[in-house]
Amino acid sequence: MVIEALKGLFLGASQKVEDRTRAKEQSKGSFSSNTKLEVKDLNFYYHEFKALKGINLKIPTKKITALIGPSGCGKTTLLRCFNRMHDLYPGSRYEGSIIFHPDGINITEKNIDLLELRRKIGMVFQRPNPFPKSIFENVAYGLRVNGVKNKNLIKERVEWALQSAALWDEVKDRLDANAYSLSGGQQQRLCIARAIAIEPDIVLFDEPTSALDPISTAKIEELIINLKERLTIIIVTHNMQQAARVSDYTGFMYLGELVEFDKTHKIFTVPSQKLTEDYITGRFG
Amino acid sequence: MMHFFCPCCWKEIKESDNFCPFCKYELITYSSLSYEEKLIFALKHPVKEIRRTIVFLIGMKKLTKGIKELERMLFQEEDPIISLEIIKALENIGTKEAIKVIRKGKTHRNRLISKFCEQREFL
Ligand SMILES: [Zn+2]
Repeated sequence: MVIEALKGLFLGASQKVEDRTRAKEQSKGSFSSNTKLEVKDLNFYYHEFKALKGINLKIPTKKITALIGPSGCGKTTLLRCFNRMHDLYPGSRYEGSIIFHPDGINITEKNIDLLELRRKIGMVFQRPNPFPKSIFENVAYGLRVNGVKNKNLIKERVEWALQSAALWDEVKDRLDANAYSLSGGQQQRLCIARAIAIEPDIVLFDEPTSALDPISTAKIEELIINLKERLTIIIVTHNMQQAARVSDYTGFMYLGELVEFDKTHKIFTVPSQKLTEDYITGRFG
Repeated sequence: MMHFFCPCCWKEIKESDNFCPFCKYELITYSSLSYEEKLIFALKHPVKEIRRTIVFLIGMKKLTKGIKELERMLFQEEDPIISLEIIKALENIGTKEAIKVIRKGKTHRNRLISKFCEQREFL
């Protein structure tokens, strides 16, 4: 059983995903390199502590961007700037800008509509956090909050989101069951379905597989790769292999600075900075 | 919070150390190494997750200089997941020498690994 599962992990899932992605890339021809988020001279403070220092970065549209670095380097802090999660805690302060294209809204602006921002920029957390409701209601919730009232439309969107999150086949016969009856990996896919049901522009993933076993992790990775057809994805991960496997671009952060940002293949095969080399090769962490 | 390791014996050391207090490795030597050499050093990293990543990256980079060390590891590594990763990396490198190692893997004491080697279609 375990052997079969391991084989599936190595032979099946990842290989197929790679082939499929490659085929898609080729069929698209040359990709357009337009920018979804443009970070300009961003500093971020928690009270007196300067957690992010002079970040400049362009997040490409409909690509997967990974942020890596040792714990405390600022990668999660940066991720949480993108949907202003820090505003939930007092004492946070932004300098510089994060331009959200194509509308050109500055995310760090004091008076922006946070609800609207978070509708456009969804988030999936480290630990799956479904509501204590049915599987169906977990996904329908966001739609209802956003004013969708038509029952058939809600049904359609829930099915679509669950299918997109590769969970439909496992739950279609028990949509009324409590979300807590699902396994950890299924709960995380449910949270992804919930995040994408309202069709955001961007989904932020904060170490989405760190609490999962390798098989659930492989499923989530495949799912993330498939999602980039429709969305821009930013993923924080402590797992470098995950960054190398799933992302198109990678940023390496250290002590609140962005040390290097480039195509993922370049970062992992010919990094330009010694610091990046030493982090990848395990000299510190 | 941050931990630094000697790249030779992989014991934890201070960032400011010039010599490893355990194995006497001179750390300045390390900073002059190429990225390729650093990757090969890191195949002995004590953290399994990092070891596995390094194997993966050696495959991604098609680093032929790493084949010898991958061969040694294939027969010494305790964790079958890493052994499978080694075979995948050798497959990615794809040179005659790399394939020869996979062929040797057919005699691996772990049935899962020997079978995995047997199933490589090009053998
Ligand atoms: Zn040492």
